[in-house]
Amino acid sequence: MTIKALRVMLNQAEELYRSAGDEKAAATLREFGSILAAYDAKTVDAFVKLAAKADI
Amino acid sequence: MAIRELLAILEQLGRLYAAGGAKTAEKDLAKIVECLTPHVSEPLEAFAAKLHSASAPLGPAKRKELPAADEAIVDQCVNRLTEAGTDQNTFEQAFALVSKDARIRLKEADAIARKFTRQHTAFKTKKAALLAIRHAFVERARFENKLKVVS
Repeated sequence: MTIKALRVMLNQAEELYRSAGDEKAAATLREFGSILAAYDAKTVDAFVKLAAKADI
Repeated sequence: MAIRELLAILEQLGRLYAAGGAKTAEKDLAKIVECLTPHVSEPLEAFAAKLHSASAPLGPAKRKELPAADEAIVDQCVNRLTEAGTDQNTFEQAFALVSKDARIRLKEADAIARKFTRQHTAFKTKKAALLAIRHAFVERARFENKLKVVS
């Protein structure tokens, strides 16, 4: 799965949380999604490797 | 915003996807959760900054510097070619020496050609440099012949 596909999932989840009235969770997902946006072309595996490379 | 809050949401989402049978989504979310877990107490901004620094390019690769042209050989060859003037035979002898000399690589050929032709642009190959030297000689010889005809 690519990060872009993962972001689509997170966007849908964000809408669900918002419609359920959990604005805080929606905002958290939005913030995480905006961080991930720079890595759209990468796969989740490549993203995890990148995070490991940065010793995150 | 702390990663702890994000992890709680992602784990909840993972359970939802697992219940819905979306195995790929569940697995990938689990990988993200695993990657974030050691930093549960860090703010999300710090995570973003570390990611950014890890993905930044390392800078342009340094090109290997070619050794500089041997000035002594260059001057010697330029003098030999220049001394030939517009005499065809003398030039051919000098040109043959220059083109067959194994010490003359691209850098030397380029320097000789630029000095002899008085051009400033670099030659990309030894062949191009030698060709330019020959063209310069032919032009000079023709020009001198024209002057002779006129006078």
